[in-house]
Amino acid sequence: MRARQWAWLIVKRILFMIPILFGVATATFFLTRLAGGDPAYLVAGSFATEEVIANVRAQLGTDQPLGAQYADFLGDTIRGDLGTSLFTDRPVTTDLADRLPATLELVVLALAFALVFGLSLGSYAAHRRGRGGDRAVRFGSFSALSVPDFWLGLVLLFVFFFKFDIAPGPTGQLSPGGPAPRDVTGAALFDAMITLNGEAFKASLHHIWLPLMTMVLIFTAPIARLARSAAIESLTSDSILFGRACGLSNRKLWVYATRGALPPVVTFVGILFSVLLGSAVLVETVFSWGGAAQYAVNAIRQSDFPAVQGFVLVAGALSVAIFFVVDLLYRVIDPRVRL
Amino acid sequence: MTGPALVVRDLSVEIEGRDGVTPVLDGVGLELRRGRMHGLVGETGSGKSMTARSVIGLLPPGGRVTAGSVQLGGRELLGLDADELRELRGASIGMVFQNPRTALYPMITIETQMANVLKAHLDLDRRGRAARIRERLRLVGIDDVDRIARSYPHELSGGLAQRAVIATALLCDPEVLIADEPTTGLDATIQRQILELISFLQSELSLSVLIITHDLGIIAQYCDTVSVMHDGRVVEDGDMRQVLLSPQHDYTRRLIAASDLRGLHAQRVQDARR
Repeated sequence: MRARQWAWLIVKRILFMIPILFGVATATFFLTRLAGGDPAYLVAGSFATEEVIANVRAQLGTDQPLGAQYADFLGDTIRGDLGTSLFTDRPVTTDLADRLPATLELVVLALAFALVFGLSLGSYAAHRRGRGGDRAVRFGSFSALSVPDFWLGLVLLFVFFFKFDIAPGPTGQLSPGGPAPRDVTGAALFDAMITLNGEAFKASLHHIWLPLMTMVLIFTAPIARLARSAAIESLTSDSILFGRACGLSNRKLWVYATRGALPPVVTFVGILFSVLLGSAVLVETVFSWGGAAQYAVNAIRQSDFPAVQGFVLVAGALSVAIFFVVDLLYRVIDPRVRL
Repeated sequence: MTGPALVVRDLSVEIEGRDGVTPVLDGVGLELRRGRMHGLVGETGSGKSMTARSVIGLLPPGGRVTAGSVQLGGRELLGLDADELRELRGASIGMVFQNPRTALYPMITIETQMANVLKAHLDLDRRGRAARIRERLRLVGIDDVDRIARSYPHELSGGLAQRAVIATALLCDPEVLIADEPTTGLDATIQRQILELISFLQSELSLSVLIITHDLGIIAQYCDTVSVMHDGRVVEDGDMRQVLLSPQHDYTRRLIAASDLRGLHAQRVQDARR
């Protein structure tokens, strides 16, 4: 019975994703057009004649009415074809597949570290509620929340690279000419790890810590604040008091309290993942990371419609997938949420 | 053993908060005799719950006992370390709180949480625990024990939830049950059922029950003895009828004037005729 409910829930959620992705695709398409700019000028170059430009337009399909372009775009997208980048002249799917792992590596690691630090700091603050430790965590997280990520990235670069020279310059995932792992996924640290390349691992670790620290510093703050309030609510709940009155061990009570505090944290992590993707756009640009986010920024600057659409669509799909997982997890943790 | 089940003497408690130290109990004393029901009555903030929580060593953060003694069956509880107190809670003293639906842990089934309490005190195997849990659920008047055991707290009505709470508190056969406003969050009809249940359990298991309430009607109907609390002190105590029918303290008189004690007065008239 329960297994069937789960199966139905999963099917339902997946069906729900279709209109959402359709909406994302539609919004992306029209927003890119709204932004203005004619890619034909870019492709043809600044000295092209009107005739050449008209030819390019015909080639790109941008001379068609908007409705026809939209229909083409939808049809291609459903077939998994995101078009060809006007700038790199390669399929957008290939471009993204090359670059997305580097972005994901940064985002997933940042999320993992921010979670570990945020949860520890938050439960520590809840434990020391109202005392010095709590106040320090609250002040620290408040300060971190008011700092923009790209600015923090620049400041860290200035301090650790320029002043103290203990971090590499913003050359991306590796130094040019330095040790590099065999390119498997495009995420240098991960590639170095799976190919057991110690030299390259050290090099990529050396390069990742600064951008990673930028994101971790900023995203630890909201997690710590949320974990603090969730833990306080959980620890002062009636059920913990009753458990105590029944003589449950501290370990058991801790398990109760932690599980009680999980649902809001899990939900928040789902939201945070999308925010982190957005933040990666800026941090990658500051550190010339060479991931999908930086690719998207360049695409916007060059009116590379297909590339912009492709990135937004993939990022949207990723977010939807994460929410799908969060939704299921939530139901595993809390039986009060109905299947 | 003939001594009282629970004796509190000269108990003083203060809470240290942001705005300094606030005294909440000032020389509280009470005596709960074996197999009896003792009522602790007073308005919100008079220190009733604080007294109960000092007894089981669960004062809120910043709370501290500054003087006094708490004896359970002749054994002094103040000064016990955390582990000794933990062993005592649930095993020797059971406690039931106001809102049963939040007292139960929402994430796991009734059976799992009851089993957790059993594991903390008794060395039973899986089957022994399941049998014990069902026996206690039946004792508190639940017929459909298997279904209730498999339920999550949110699936139970308020009355059923409070029965499950009471069954949990009584799992390890404590001699003393402290019920802190056990019916305040419940419907009027359910309130009565729960009080009848506590009264039944008290005689069935020869429990000594300390019931905390602001409702003199409950005291009049179920208690043998009573302590009236006001402003962190016990202003009057003794036999229930004596206190309620010929109150000595002004605060008790005001409390009685504000309550509906028709039942008790009707009984008094009856007693007088006899």
